[in-house]
Amino acid sequence: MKLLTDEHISPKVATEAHAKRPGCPIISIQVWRAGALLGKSDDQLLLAAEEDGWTHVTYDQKTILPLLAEWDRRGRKHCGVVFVDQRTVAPGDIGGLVRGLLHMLENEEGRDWADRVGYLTRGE
Amino acid sequence: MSQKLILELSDEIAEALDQAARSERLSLEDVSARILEEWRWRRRFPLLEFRDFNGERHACVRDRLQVWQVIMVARECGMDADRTAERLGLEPEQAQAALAFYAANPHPIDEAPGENQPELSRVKALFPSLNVMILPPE
Repeated sequence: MKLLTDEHISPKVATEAHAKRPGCPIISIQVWRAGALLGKSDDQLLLAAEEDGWTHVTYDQKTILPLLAEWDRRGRKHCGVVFVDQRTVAPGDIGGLVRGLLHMLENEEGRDWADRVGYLTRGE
Repeated sequence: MSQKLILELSDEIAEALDQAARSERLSLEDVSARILEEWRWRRRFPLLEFRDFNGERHACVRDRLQVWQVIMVARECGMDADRTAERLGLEPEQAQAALAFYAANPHPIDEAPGENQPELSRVKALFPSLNVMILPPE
């Protein structure tokens, strides 16, 4: 599993994750491909992430959830998407997000995330 | 309040409007009103643009993210443009434009948080094999 953070997530999340665990596979969209995918459509982003094997981490359930459901219906392939619930970790809680993502990487190490959808929560 | 206007347009513009109406499944009146409304906002906020997301039009920072996402982060930054820009890697002017747009037109953006936080059961219904991962306690 390799994690690509969305545009509304501070690039500091990836930077601080690397400071905590050097070499961990987390990258921000601001840095990945020199920011070439910033402002691009979610379709373009998911396709490019799939090419490079990145699982997309996002708070955007509003637009990406229905898009993924549509992709699912059409059998389109992606490299996995993890939704973070705002009630679980606020988008500005950089430390909380770093902890959550590193925890996920630890638990999911070596697992194939192709076409999988994840949801990070505090539990029901 | 609204007013009815009758416009005389070139065939080319009329055809383009007709195509837009068909592709958006809107009436000619609705698509024209939508285009004019966006034109008005873009004149007022040149750093913003409107893009399609699953058939809905959303205000966005030009070539960057949607305004509602900027506001989601800005709320945690005390609606401060500089702090929001710094957190998102935007220019302060871009964050300022998003905040000013929100101040002038809060309703569509105020609806976004609810739409962005569906109940987990709804997400599970969409994706029965959803991987629910529990955040460990600090």
